[in-house]
Amino acid sequence: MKRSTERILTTHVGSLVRPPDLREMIRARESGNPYDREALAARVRSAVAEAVRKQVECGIDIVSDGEQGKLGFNTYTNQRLGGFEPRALRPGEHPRPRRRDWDAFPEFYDEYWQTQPVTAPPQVCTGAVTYERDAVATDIQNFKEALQGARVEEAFMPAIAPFYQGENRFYPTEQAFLTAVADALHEEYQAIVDAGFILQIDDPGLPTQWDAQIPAISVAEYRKRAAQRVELVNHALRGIPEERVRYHICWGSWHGPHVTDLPLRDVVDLMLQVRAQAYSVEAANPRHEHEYHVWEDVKLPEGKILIPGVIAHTTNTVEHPELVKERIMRYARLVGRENVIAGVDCGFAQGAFTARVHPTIAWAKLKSLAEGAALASQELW
Amino acid sequence: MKRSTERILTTHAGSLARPPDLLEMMRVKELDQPYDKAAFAGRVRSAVAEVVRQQIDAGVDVVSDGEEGKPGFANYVKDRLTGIVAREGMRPRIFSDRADFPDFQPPAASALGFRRLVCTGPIGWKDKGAVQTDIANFQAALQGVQPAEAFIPAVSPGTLAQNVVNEYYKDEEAFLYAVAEVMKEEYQAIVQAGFLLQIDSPDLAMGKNVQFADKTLEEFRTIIARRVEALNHALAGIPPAQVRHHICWGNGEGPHHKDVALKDIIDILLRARAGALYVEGANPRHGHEWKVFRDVQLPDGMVLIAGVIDTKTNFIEHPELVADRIMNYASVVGRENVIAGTDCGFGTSADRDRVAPSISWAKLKAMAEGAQLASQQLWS
Repeated sequence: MKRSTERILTTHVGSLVRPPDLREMIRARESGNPYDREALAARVRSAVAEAVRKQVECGIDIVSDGEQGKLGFNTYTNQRLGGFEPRALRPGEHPRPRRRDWDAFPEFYDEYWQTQPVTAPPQVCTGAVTYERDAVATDIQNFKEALQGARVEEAFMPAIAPFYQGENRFYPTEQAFLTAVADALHEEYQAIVDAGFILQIDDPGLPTQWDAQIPAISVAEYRKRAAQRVELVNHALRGIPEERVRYHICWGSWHGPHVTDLPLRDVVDLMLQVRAQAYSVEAANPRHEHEYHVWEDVKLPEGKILIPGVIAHTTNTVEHPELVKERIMRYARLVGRENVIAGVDCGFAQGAFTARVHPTIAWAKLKSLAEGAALASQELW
Repeated sequence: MKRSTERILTTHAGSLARPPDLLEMMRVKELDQPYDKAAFAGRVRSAVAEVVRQQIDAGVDVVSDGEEGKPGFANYVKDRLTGIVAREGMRPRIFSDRADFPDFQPPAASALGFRRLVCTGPIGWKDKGAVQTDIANFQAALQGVQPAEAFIPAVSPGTLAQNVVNEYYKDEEAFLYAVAEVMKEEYQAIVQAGFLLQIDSPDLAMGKNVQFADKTLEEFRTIIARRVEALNHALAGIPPAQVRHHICWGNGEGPHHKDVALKDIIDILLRARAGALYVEGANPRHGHEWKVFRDVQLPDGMVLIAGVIDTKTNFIEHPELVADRIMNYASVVGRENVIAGTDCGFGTSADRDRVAPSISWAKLKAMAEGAQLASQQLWS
């Protein structure tokens, strides 16, 4: 994996807003209406090409396919994993899991969720988990084509960690179920790395499950579960060279108050046990920007890379490049310039129908990211 | 004006969320439908008492009346001044930054702001008693509580030159001084009642983006220098130590990438006869500008009120982030010269809460906690 040896490299979290016409085609497919498979496949291919071109234009060094073909950063597996079926919501069940932040600000969240798309019904596992390789092969093919002739430092593809697949009604234990999912997703991880891309594992749950514990549990108890989680991620990553993997955590991309977020400090050591070379962590939004202080005490292990968010997905206001630079400088001072890659807090489009900021503004933010990295590089080199 | 002599004091930009029932009454009133004047006045009075209590509970040191009775921080003058009317069907204001992003849909506009203000005749007083009502409500609300200090916001002549379409006076200069001559009485009344006066001058910064996008920086500087002169004319005779001067770049969650830089206007801002300069410092477009004060010396005795809470996002700032921001300012202007504030108001228009009301109170709490953390470091 390339690191910032001569200047601060830039990247982001992966998902980018889908073009409106592609979004409509995906909507048709999802609502069970007839749709033109070939036209959809072709539009995904051209959208990936556009996304790559725009990233390059904005000055992004380590680009993604924008997850253009995926329904959602986690729900995309509905089309790839066998052994699952959708289930209807139970009476009174909200499509979103209850969280303590929601309980703290019920009026806000009741209103807010109404403005947010819900993309897929919950899944239940009712049979042995299997993995269908065609879809990732298409992702890889599309991305490779899009990268032809593009001037990038590197290319990465996100994939979900094995914890987002709904309820188990088939395996005798939760552990057996998660292991089966991990084994299935291992094939996807392997395929991405075999294709020559950097693999990004998306695992927001490492910190966000904290907020979903109702009633709250102790940090010690939470850490015990989080440690098991990390073990399972490492199981899914077995045999994959560490230097081809980056691991992304975040605190959930919704624009809420986030007062019950777990402090990074409480989970950072566990994060660093994931067999990845780079760690992508939120660091630009109002709830987590101060957490660079964590690195005053915690040493980034030799050879590792930190990808702090220096641009937030949480606001339409475009970060001033000077602010981006300031944020990068803090990290460079603490962990060393060559160990920092400038990133974004979270994706801009966790689902095909989601846009955390308006699409054109997302591009302006990525430009600002590159400008800020250039400013920081001037000072650091 | 009190300053942070023993610990970092906290404040905000003045406007706060209106309770839903008051807002309903205000909607009826603003639509010129018949409404119960006594009931409205009574509800404003009790709402002011509530928001004072809530500010104290949140740990705010320098409190306001929340502008509970006003439909907006600037357009309230239509009910107080002659010569200014609210007219429908006017061309809306253009935000030049938003024009660059055609797919950007700004958050819902204020329903109360569907009319633009137009100056159609000589400006004078229609309701000079309104500010006395504000004062009386605030005084009543402050009975039995002891904030460090209390302030009432009032709009600047320059902001009215930005927001009001002038069809009467021969040029902006004439309009500015006509407003200054009249509004100075409101300013004086606030100070005479023992309150700090906060002058709201968003125009001095946001004007570049919404009114003068086509002007060069030099031209814009000339315009705002003239506006500051008119403001100083209105402030003549008022001790600067009683005045805080709030500047902002507009409270909308837009891209803001065309905002004029603080460093390009700071010298003009410092000419205002105000003991405190109050600027945004928390949002992503202006979070770096504390560094401006490395090079710019704050005049002796002046207080800097810095935004350490963003009023455009529902994320609640972590108190440690608040502390970091305060520390930055303290490092460049000295701890005793910093008061922690919010970037802008939480109810700039009565009916537009970008930040949910319950969240705005939690943000003020986070600010107070952050100020405490910073104070521990700064006075250790």
